[in-house]
Amino acid sequence: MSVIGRLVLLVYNLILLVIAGAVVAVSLGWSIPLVYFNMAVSAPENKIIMGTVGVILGIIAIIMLIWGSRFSSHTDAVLVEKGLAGEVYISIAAIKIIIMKAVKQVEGVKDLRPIVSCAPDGLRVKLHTTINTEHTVPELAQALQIAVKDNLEKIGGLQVAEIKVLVDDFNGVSK
Amino acid sequence: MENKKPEIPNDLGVIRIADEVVSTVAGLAAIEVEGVATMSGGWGTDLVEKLGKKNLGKGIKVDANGEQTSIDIFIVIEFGYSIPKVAENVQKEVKLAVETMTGLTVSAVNVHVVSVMTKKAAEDNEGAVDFNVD
Repeated sequence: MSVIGRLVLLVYNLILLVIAGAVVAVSLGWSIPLVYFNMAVSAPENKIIMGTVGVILGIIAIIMLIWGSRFSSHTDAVLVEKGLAGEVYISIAAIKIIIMKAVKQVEGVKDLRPIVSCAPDGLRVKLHTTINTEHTVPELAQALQIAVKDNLEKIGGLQVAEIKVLVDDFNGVSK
Repeated sequence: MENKKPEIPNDLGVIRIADEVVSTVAGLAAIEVEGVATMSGGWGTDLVEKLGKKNLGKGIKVDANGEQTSIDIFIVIEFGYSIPKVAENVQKEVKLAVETMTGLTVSAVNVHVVSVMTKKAAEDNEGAVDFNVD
């Protein structure tokens, strides 16, 4: 989404927040928002303004809905190739799936949360892991790094700059 | 800036090809490429498709401007295939199909790989992810 789109969405959300707050306040017995609303629709000119605002908000909502429904998940992507035929991008979600598949090849990993960022020298991957206690951390971390690097390079054609393995927890350790 | 739709003039008049036609041709060509699991068209298109309306141009964005047409393709790739190779094949096949069938000149075919899935998941149409991805 473009900067203007994000800005419109922000304003729209703020308006919704104010309306929601007013509705909750009225339902709790605070009548001032209702007084202001009655004042706002009391004069014909005010009714026109209120109606126009309502129509504008409705149009923005429809535009947002259409934007959201089309290609919404394709914004975070890494450029893999740029040639005469065109460009090839891989989404961060797809990269994470490749990482998850690679990690499945390594025994001893109970849970994994990958964080992927793109740098000029290649991908930077952080693997937050929970590992089984019967494996040693250095060996497992190295196996993970090799498996993830191989898969990203072989399947994704991606350049990997760094893979950090962070062991967050051990599986099977009683606290 | 308004895009100028491509026109093919002949003795009898002018032939104009709608973006939807180019999308359908490109979609059919792309899905035939080995390694392409499915096209990705966003939740709106998926919902409409689930309700029974087949969209052959799903996941295709056509930008036709005068003589040049650029196509953006959003695909899900089958796990195990080399993404750059599959993407290259998609670019070749789509360019060939669109140029042959419509007579338009395709300046670029940009491939966006939005996800990766196994063949079984693609057949079951359960979505791309069998993991929890943030």
